[in-house]
Amino acid sequence: MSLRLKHSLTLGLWLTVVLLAIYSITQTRFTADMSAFLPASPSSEQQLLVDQLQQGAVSRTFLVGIEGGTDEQRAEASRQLHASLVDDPAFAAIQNGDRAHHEQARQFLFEHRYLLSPAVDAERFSVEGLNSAIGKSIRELNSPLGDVTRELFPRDPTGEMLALLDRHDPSSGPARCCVVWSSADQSTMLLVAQASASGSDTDGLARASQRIKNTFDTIRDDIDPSLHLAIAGSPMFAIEARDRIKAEVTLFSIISVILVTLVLLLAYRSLPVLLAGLLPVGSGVAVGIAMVGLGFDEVHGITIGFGTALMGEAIDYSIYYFVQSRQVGMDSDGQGAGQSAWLRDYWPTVRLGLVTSLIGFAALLFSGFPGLMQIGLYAMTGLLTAALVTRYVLPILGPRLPRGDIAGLGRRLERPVAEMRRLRPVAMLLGGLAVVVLVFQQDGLWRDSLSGLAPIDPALEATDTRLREELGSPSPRHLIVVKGEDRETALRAAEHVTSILDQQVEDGLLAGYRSPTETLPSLATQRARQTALPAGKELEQRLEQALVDLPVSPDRLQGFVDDVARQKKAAAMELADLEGTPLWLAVAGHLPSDAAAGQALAVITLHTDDTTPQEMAVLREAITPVESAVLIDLLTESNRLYARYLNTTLVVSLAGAAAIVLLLLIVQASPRRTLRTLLPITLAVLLVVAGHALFGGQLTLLHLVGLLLVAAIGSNYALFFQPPPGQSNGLDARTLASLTLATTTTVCAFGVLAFSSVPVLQAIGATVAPGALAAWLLAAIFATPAARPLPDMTGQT
Amino acid sequence: MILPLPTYAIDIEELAAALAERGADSTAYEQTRYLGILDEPLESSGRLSFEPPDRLVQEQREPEARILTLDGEQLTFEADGRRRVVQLEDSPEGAALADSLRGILNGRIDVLSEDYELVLNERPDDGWRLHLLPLRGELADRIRRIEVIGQIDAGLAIVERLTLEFANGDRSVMRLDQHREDEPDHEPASP
Repeated sequence: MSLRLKHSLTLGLWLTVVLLAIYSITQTRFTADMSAFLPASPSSEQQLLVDQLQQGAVSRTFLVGIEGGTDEQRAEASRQLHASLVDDPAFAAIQNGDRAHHEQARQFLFEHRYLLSPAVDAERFSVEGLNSAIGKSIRELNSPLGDVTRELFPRDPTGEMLALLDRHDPSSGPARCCVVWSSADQSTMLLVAQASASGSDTDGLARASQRIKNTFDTIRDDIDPSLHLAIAGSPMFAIEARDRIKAEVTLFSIISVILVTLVLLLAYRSLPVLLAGLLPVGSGVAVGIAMVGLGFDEVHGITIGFGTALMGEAIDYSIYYFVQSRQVGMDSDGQGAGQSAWLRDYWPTVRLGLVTSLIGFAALLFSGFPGLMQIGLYAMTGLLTAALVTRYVLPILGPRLPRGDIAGLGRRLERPVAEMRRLRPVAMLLGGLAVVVLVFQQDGLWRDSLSGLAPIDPALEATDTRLREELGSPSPRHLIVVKGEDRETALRAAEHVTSILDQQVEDGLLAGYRSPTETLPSLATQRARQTALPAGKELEQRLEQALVDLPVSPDRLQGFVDDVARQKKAAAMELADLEGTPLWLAVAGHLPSDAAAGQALAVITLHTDDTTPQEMAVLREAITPVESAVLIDLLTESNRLYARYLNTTLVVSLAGAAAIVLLLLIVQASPRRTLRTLLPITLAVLLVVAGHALFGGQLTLLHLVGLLLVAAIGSNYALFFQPPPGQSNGLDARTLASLTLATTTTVCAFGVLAFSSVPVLQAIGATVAPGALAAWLLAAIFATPAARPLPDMTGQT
Repeated sequence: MILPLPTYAIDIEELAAALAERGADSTAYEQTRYLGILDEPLESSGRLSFEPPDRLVQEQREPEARILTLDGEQLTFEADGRRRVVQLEDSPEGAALADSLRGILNGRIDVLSEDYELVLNERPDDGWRLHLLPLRGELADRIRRIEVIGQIDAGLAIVERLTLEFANGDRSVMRLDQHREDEPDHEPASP
């Protein structure tokens, strides 16, 4: 194969890959769902937690407040907003506390009271049971509420409805003003809107929130311009995070590109070289995004944002190529020779640096967080592509390009850099101090909670807290989750659990609980209750006997007999029957099911305000007879989950670090040299961690990822500052210049991220930028002195 | 419609003022309910207390201890050691009755006249009879009328009997003891 053909094939392959990658990107879905930075959990309990966060009713529920104007105007706006959105397919449910809603719920409960009431059994409908229940109801007729129960009695003489209403205690709801929900001080009317879109469909949620805003604007124009809308809830955080990530990623990409371009333009002073130098980076970005898109079905905005910083690292390869091959080229007699010399003398070092970087990023693939796995895959494919393009494509284009020389910069730096070796004791001292700091601060070094992954707007958070408190719906902390292969088995398991919980409530261990089975009992339970209801004639006969000593005659209770007969024959309730009633919202959200996976869950929320940890342990023990039941403490669970993943990532990172050390030991074949290579990297990592411990607060998993990058990037610098013994050049001016340039671009690109308000990006930026700078400085400080001076450098300019 | 004529000793504003003049108040009551569905009337008794501006407590002592408190817009019912809280707006039946009762006892004729047509009649010896006839359909569906009978004594209105007549013919009659809070519940034995 001729060289020309080989070149054409290489270029053709490269162009094809890049074009395919670009096509693939156009087909890729982009997301900004922060739950990608929650673990993809292996255990069902943790999976459920993540599901709850991603898909649960909470993740789709908007909290809406209407403020300004008069009480009546706000109430009218609340009613109109409700009326406009109630039939909108974008919303599964919308509630404003309207009395009609309560009536509707009561109506439903009343019509199904004999299927719903836990008191319904054969005993209750025996002669004795009827006598006792009706006797009790008559006594209630004679209480101060008698004038109210009076209306229910003829059709519900056994008092099932009152028992049901007691359970659906409306007092736990928000305050009222003008017949709609309001804040306690009545200054805000409250609504709750549940979007139809799933919690991970941020676009759908954004459209739903826009519907609310637009509808409100129209209503406000009709009523009073001083009215205004407050909207919060979990979906707003997701939307806000996405918008912010989108905006910042765009902004930071532009800033990074401008900065890196400026640095390179200053260095090369040649636009064609600059453009050629960007080819490896551009190819890497395209292939990286395409690979993530293919591997994960969607690309996270954070991955793109991280990609802009990665440019600072990938650009290094072309910098090494352009600066160093010129060095060799000038030393030899022609450019072609210079290239082969570069491939011979420098490529192995670049390659070794590449492999250590790949090992570093490979650790992310095992982190268990889809978001971090994306970053890992992106970085690996991006860097590999950039390096391959540098190795195989640039040499084809390179000879045709003019190029600037930055040896002058290198030479100006030579002396100060050489002077820096005097700082070795200082560096060692600082390293020692860093170790001391870390030993003293090790307890609080890592943050062990999940909070702080997503960017949070303080104003939105304040609105959310306010509306949530007024709605009286603080997020529950303790849940019991039961699992079944379908909804029915899940409901049966939940009923088993509630029978245990009833005992615990009686014993005072538990203030109470809410179970979906209160409103939707299992089919088995409904049928059992129907079976317990006597048939019409039978009931009439029993009533005859039961009422002998009571002041009511059976013929006056015909409504009761008819209702019992009707509900005995009625089809059992399904979840779909609840749709359109306010009860649906409470029930459906607690019955997540995945028909495809053959799994259904029932979630019971516990009222545990006064429950001690010891009592929780008793509770945990008490529910063990129900095999699938798991008691979840959402607070500690998510923190424990996070801590576990932090540990996993720590272990994986250490394994990655060990792999890098092993690789260097093998390639460098000299433990001493490897030690010298590792020293600056280790010190850099120590200094960054100590710096964060002293000034930056606690470290998160994301900082750990940043440290991994520091090690991966720093290893490149250390390798160049420790050239292989066979290579005579030592650290020459152009290598120094190229390393300086590479560090500058890396620090610029990651430094920009440090100003992000997206915590994921900020943590990585604030770790990598100072880390890369420290790695460069320390690599210089601990550099092997040049084997001999480079006399041939002096007469070059 | 019967309007109070000028020749009557009191008019409706005077009655309102005389009712409002009562201030904090606590009286024993006996209540009898005549329900169509039951063969015999139900008897109960207890104390009815009012604290300005808007707290009304009906404390039933016989046959079973029950306490119904209307405080502002919140209705609380205590029975067998359990407390149930209901917002007035959530319970139209309870609301109408408790609100009317309170309106009568604190003389808020202005509130009552939003929901009822008020008809005042004079009875002998400073006595009066007030009829409340529901104006709105939903209230009229439940309540046929409320009758309050009392006396004026030294500028204070005393409520003696309160009768609720429901649309289906059920009746609830509450008889209030005239003794004031600061007096003993029963007549002192004659010397």
